[in-house]
Amino acid sequence: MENTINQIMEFIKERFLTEETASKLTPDTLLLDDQIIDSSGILVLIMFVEETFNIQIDDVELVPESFNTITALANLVESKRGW
Amino acid sequence: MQEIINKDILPYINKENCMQSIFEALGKDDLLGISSRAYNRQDQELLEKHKKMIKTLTKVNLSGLLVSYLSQGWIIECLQRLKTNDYHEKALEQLKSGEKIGAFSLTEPANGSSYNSMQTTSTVDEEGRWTISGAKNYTSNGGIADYFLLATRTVPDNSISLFLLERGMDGFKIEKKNSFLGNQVAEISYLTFDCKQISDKYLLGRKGNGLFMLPMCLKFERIDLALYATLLAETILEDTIAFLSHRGSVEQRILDYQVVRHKLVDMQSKIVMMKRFVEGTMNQIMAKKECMQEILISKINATEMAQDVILQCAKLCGGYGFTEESHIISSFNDIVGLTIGGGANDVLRNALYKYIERVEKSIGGQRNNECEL
Repeated sequence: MENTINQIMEFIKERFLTEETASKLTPDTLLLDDQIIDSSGILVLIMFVEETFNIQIDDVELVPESFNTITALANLVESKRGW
Repeated sequence: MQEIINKDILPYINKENCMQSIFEALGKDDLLGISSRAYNRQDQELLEKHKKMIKTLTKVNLSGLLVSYLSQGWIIECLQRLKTNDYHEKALEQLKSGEKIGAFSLTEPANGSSYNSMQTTSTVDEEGRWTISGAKNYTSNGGIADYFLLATRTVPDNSISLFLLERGMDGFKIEKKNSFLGNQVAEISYLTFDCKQISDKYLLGRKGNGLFMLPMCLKFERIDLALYATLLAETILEDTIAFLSHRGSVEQRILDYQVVRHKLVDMQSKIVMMKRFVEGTMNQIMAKKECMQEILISKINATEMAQDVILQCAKLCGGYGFTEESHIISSFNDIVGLTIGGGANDVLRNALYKYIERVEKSIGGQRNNECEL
């Protein structure tokens, strides 16, 4: 789980954030509410997660509760992997 | 494809219920929602059919037919992804067969298409019944649609939820408030909602799905509009060349003047470049690669290129270019609307700026060091 969180966090830092904002990112930062990522960015994040962890996220699972924090997203990933 | 025009479209133009008849005929030939199937099945042959279909429709002088046709495809895509009950399944079959027509309703009178400031709201009570309140503007197919895909802001949590409503529902009114110069048969409408305690069967997917599904559907809409714009510019240029080749004086055709040839070459160059780029982006989508930047670039540049090319063609054709018969100036009216539809181009430029920010981020430190030296 920690590994999953770290991988997602590194991707978000690299892809969406500056050095200054990256230092403030935590697993429980509100990605959507705090406008870290917009809705188009979430699509990019979904693609990264599906490719990296070799999972398929169903469209009906695409709800804010699953993506609003890195922890929530990591939980979704783990559940899809059966862990 | 010419057979399709002759069989499925021409017999119904200027007849009563023109669009309904055309959609039923296209549905019978399994020509609705092709792009949805092509991308989902990664079927290159089906994608080529989609491109041919759009090219074919650019040759039909029926303003708004293409927007209506594409709109149906986007709703089929959304419904395919988010259907959860028998009502959705039935609607999907009816839209695919052309028996019913769909409309996609996002834009609002006060705040355009912004998700953050959406004012059409949905609330759910303890028994799972929904109340929808608000208004939508500029809904393509609004005047003729049977099903309406509606984006709402769910309160109090502020998520975006999607609904599939039916014409004739209590509290749902459709008006034609605006007279558009382009896209006439798309019958763009103004909708108002005061739907109280409706069944949750109308909810598409789950509460909050809209925030992710909308960009996904808009992705398909934008690339389709880019393709449409490019192929329409190509068709109008072909018609212009054909016209000019028979116009002129005894000594010289208009087509033989160097200045005219240079204009035609420049226009064709832009179309060829745009076509390669748009098709390349479609292949990226098919391969499920991340290509949001390319999609936005395609939509902005194809619609603006087409606007420029079509207006130049109108002028090259003289008075004929401004007649209804030539299809040129009516196409210009259609295309100008598309620089706004699917997301206004300047709003999309704002979205594209984040890629500039990434460049700034990657080179910023390096340039500072150089300055210090």
